[in-house]
Amino acid sequence: MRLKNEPYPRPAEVKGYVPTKKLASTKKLASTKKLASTKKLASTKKLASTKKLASTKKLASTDQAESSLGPGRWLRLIIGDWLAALAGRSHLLLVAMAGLVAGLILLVPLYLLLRSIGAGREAVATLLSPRTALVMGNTILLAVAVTIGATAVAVPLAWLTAATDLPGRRMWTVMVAMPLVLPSYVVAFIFISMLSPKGVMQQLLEPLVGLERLPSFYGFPGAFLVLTLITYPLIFLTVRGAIQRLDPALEEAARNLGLGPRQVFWRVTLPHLRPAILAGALLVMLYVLRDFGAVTTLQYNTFTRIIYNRYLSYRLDMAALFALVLVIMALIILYLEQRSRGRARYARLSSGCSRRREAARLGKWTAPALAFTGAITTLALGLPLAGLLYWVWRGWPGHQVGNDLGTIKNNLMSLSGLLEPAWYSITASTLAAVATILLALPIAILVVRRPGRMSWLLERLAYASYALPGIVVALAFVFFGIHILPSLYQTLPMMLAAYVILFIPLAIGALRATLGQMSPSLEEAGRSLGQQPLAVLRRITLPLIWPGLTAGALLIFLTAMKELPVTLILSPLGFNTLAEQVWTNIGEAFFARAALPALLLLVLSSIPLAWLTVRDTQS
Amino acid sequence: MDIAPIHCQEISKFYGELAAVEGVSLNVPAGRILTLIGPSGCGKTTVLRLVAGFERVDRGEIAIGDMNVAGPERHLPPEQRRIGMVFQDYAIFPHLSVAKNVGFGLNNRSSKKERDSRVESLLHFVGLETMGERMPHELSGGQQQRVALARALAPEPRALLLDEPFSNLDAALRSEVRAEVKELLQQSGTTTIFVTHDQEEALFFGDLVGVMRAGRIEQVGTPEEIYLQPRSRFVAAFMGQNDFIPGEVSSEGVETPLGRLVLPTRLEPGTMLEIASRPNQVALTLDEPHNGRIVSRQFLGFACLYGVALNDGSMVHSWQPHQFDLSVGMAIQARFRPGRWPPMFQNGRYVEEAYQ
Repeated sequence: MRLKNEPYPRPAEVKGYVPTKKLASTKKLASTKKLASTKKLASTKKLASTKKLASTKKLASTDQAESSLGPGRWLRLIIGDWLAALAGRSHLLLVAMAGLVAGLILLVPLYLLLRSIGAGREAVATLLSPRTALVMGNTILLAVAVTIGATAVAVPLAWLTAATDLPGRRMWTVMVAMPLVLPSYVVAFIFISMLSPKGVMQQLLEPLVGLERLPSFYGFPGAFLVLTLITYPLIFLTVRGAIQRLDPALEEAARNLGLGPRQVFWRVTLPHLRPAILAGALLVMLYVLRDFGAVTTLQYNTFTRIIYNRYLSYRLDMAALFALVLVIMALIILYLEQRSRGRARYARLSSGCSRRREAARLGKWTAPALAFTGAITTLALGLPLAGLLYWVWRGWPGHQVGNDLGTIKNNLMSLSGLLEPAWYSITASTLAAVATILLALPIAILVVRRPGRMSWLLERLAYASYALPGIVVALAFVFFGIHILPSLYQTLPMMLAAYVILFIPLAIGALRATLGQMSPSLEEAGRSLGQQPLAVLRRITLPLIWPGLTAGALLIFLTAMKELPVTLILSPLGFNTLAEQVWTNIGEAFFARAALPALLLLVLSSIPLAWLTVRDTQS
Repeated sequence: MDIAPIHCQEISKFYGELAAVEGVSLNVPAGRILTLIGPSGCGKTTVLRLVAGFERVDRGEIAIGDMNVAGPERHLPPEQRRIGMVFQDYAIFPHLSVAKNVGFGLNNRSSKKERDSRVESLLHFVGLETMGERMPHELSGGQQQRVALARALAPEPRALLLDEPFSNLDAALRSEVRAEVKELLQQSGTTTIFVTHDQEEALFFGDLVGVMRAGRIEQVGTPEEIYLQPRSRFVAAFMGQNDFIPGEVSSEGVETPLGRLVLPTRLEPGTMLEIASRPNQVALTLDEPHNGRIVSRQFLGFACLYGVALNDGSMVHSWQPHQFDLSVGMAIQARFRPGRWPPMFQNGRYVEEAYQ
């Protein structure tokens, strides 16, 4: 008789496997002794490694899963069940889930097209009007100028921190990359408060040089400065990575062939960094196109600001039309970025570089290099933080500056009044992170484990959603909320759905990388050792992708905390997040009132970031 | 312990139009080791994955002992097959200690105590009894290899599969680990299929050797049969260094550029054959008449390998002891050494009639 599908019966008693008995019995004693002693040795010797051992033990065994339930463990259980559901059913469920996300993403361009076509003749007239040309000119001017500015700042910084003996390189690397986490509208309002014609800077300068007013900071100059200072880290990080991967043998070969250091830089080093510079520059362009906070605060008319204004004046059709143009521009940039990335990979010969490069000696250039790095850090990180603290101090309860009673009252902001917005921010961002990761998992699994035309298409689509600025996604959801699902309009689920569209490229990027690093034979090994797919997912896949998964979730959390347009437009009534608090107060120029929620926003975002950094440096 | 034979009956696997495996039949008697060898892309790993249950068979059947595990209507999932597997990259779980890796497949055993003692005896078996608490990244390649083996053996599988298990080790370690693993396999007495692309390894490990080519089995036999009596020109070319020279059947035997092979043959005179010649079968002398010229000399340590261009245009190689020193350009006489007749092929297939 042949057996049906039931598990194969196992022998009841456990026998020593080794056919020769002496192996099992006589040496047992000795071996256990040895085992115990080496254990001791290991634990005293390597604190770090045993710590890690303990933590991985905790993560891995399902037997212990119920013993203590922190938030992380709950999350892990939820994700485990989700994964198990995905694995236990067939391919079809995976595809269905991925299809759902794809449908959600596709709603946005569908809306834009419908609405733009709906505008009819007026659409054509508007598109061809000089006003549109002006907005487009503004947008392109800003994007190009910021990209050039950011490149000019970032490439020298990357070279200084990665390839030279600049004193304090490690510290500078962290400091120089930091401004990326600052919300653009916060930096914008700090700069306005500092540099506006009658701002703090003017008040400081007046007694010294008698300056009565500074030139206006609103419009292009302000937007250019703020966005350059926020976005240059995108180029800095990609170029720095490329410098570290650069094989020093290439430069040595060039020197050996008779080129001087300067020629080597121009003819070998720079051409190799070009793809990385290009990729970073395109990311900066995309950031500028998507940015809403800085341009609106600084009153510079790019597409995002115009779209928002049309939305405020109930011209949703015109808003959709501008949004369509913006999305097309973003798609072009995204396409170029994609192509440049392909080339960047091409330019590298071997993945691992065996030798560390020797740090270039700065010599007499050390002081200017330090001055440059310090100036950029001061401007991009020090000034915003100092300004923020200054305004917090100005607005602190009990503190009185000036004699205008109204200003004082308006500037006061109690900490207790911020508890609720902080709670809303954390809730919304956490839910956004969890929902996005859960929905990104099916796509990531399909892409990594079952490559094919369909998963390729899904991945492209999710990636393309990066070209959808928050304001555009928000607009599309307003339309569907009003016309199709009024019961969901301005509810938490709808806001979360919009977040998912915004953040899914981040999630897929993180999950794809971490799943891709894991050899599929690990899962197969688990199966061949008699484990059900569910057990394999819980005991192998999940513990192994956990670091990447949490890092991705945190990245989304951080981005969601400072996200503005979707939160502004789609948040439920009374659901005032910290970002909204900051925004409202900026709009009314109550800088002191905006400062405390902004500071809280930064502090709350930096806690998980710090946790992640500590965890990753430990392991 | 229940060790079971493995039977593969005419199994095929298609990827779209492409047949990765076609009509492969293999029988591995209980407790024996079969090595599968072939050039990369010949389907040997696919056969392994079909037996393990990671891929579904499109045609044919696989049985482990009396249990039919795969067929056209049937696919027993891998976790129910009780087949151990050692992966090419070892697939050691990086987040688990060595002991936990070995004990991974034991979690549904009755008690923790039993599991622990089983893990301990296996670690002892592979000589890693002091390494149980180590993490995988703290082990050398050879040690990881043994963990993978211990882990696969822990749940007492009915059969064991090894997928190029030594390809990630450097040459020096490889020969050492190879001998160890062979001994462990023989001690464990498990039915084993072992995939490799290294001919030396295949001959060393296998009670039986199966040579694959383009999804099909070319020949299955003992290492001696495979090496000495290849059933096709492909097997002869793949296993060991063979040169091929033309031969023509005459009334007295077979005429070759290396002289006449006098053997009773049923073939028609005038039939053209291809004859495999190994370096150890070719004798070189300075006697007249010369029929070739030395064109290359390679010092191998234990001997010298000479390349000889024969006057008819074909090329053979010959090993010679150091005492017999020749130099490039010398004219020599090359002859088959007396003894075993070399394998002969017609249109790539072995010609049995040649020896009748």
